[in-house]
Amino acid sequence: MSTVERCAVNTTGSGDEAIVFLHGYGCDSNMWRKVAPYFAKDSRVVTYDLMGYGKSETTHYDMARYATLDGHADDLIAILDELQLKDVVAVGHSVSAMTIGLAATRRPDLIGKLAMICPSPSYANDNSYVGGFERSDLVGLLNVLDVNYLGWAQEMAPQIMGAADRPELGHELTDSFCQTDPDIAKHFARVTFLSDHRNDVKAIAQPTLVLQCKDDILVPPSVWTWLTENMQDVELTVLDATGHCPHMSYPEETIKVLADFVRPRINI
Amino acid sequence: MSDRFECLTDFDQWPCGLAVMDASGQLEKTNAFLRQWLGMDAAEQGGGVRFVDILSRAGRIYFETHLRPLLLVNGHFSEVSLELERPDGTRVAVFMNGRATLSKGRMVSAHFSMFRNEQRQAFEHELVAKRRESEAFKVLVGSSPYAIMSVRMDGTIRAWNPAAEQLFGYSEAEVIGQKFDEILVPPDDRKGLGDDLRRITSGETVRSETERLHKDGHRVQVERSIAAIHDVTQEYSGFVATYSDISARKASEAHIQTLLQEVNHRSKNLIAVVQVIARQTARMYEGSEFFSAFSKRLASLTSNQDTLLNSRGNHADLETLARSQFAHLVTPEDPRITVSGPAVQMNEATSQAIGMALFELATNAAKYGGLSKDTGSVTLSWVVVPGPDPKLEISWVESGGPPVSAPERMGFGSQVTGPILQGITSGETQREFHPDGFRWFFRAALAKMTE
Repeated sequence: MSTVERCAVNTTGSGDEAIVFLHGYGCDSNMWRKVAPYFAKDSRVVTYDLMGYGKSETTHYDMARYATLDGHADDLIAILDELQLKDVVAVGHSVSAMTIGLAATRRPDLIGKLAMICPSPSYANDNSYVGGFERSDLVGLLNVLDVNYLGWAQEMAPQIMGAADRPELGHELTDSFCQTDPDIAKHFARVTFLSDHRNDVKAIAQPTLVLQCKDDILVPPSVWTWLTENMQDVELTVLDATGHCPHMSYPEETIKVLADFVRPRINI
Repeated sequence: MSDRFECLTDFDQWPCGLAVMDASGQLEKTNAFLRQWLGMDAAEQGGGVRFVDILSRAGRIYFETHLRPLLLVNGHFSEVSLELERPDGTRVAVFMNGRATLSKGRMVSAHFSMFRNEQRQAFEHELVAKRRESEAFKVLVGSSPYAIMSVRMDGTIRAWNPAAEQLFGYSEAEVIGQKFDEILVPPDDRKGLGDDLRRITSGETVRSETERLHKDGHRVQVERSIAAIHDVTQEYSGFVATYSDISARKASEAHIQTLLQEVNHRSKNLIAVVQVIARQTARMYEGSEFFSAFSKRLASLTSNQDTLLNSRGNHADLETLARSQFAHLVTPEDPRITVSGPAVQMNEATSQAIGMALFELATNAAKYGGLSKDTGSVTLSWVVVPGPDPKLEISWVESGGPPVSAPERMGFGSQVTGPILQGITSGETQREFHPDGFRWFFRAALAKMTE
């Protein structure tokens, strides 16, 4: 099975340029539903579900392969190779901003530009670096996932017990946004929130946009400042907005900033 | 409708927490219960507090990564277990439902209702702990070097770990649902099962050494441990059995037993031989001469034993054995002595008999024969004569010594170089009092001496 099939890759639009969108921790490629169609008007648009999420073939979720973001970066590289795309614009939300960075450094031929939406190279505070969280807060998230697993189990129980007479349950599950196997969710949470990618982002040579909400509980201003001071070719845009998902909450504003970055208007 | 029901407005009377979040994420409205839980007073209402600020830090991440996207896409979420955090850091556990008011895909506002669930959450944490414990237990069983299986009350196998696959040859898929006793217990042992069941149902853990059947039919020696398991109502619901493979231990125990018997046997033999040596030596020697001759003969016996032990088993190398028989008489480099022949490994009885014979020959040569003079010599050589039944031929040839003559009577030396050796090896011996010196020949079937 190809990576394109495993990760439920969806390609729309046509054009010389290609844009690939990677969703962040917690949800799936549905997150892009208000942003991606805009670009499909004159570009090839690729969206997919990270392994373990959405409609991906979760049986391929190998805890060792995905113990670091490199596994996900390998998937992105494989998908672009399989689709024979080069010099694309990679858009990564949250943790996937780090994934596109890893892939861009390893295969500069594949990725020409990067757009990072609400990125954080490290969530944990470390001496003078203020990531915004203590390690104990991040470990606490694993507990929140654990107790809410029980609710998930309740929803999943008929599914697990094989409710052959209620096939609609299967659809409900695959259609249910932000639902995933709790073990995968916990594993990916650990990878997302307990990793430190500060050295990796310093290595990115391609032009990079950092799009940030002004009031993002996950990413304090100290993180954007650190990124602008430490990345090679970075441009920061801060939306006067709240939350961690501007592509969902403020799709028009997000489209505008992304479009300007993808195709800069020439001012005469 | 409006005639019969009044609209509710007295939200502060509701035994639940209520909150409204505005489009910018600010906490717009709260009811009295929520404020009381959070230790806020009414004046704080609104005042620049974001909705996420009343959540624990872990809860904030969960809200931004899961719940806000759910509100934006589905418009609601329900039964989420979260912790609210007071300004002093203490927490309140709640179940939360949320509903968003969306306009053109934007969240205009969101309403949240919360119920405290400390007790239930404590229970949930217990469930989570149990789940982790059972995961740890699963890993333990899966990685255990012991075969572990779980059996239902009706005797069918419910679980079967990888070590059980290893030990008994059946895969998990092959045995699940099969009768435990039909698969594993040898037919002659099945009547004991009833007694085992009575003991384990009374709370005992039954441990014993026994035999169980492998898939290919052979019996595996095992140490087993069986204990009853109970269902939620504390009723007996089957048992778990653990088996370890003790065939290696059993084999080594059997080996030790054999060795002990052998040591016993050899000791008796040795004492018998020593008695013979004493008797024969006493015929020839008296007083201090007796003691010297007797000691030397015992030394030769000891040297035979060393040769046997050093060959790490019960076979001795003929050349090593032969050379050691001269050790008490001459230096190893003595040019008068020639020892040669192909490598031959002899069994214990043969090496002892040949060792004794060569010892007597060497002693005799040193006293009266080829080794009693500097000009004399002894040539000890042997060959293996091939054929359907190969023979070992040993020859002992002395020369350069004083003239020799046949002795008047049969001493111990004659016994061990003649009848005793013949009896043990079923071979032939021949003595020759040649004018050049004493000669001795031995011939016997190789197979009997080496096996």
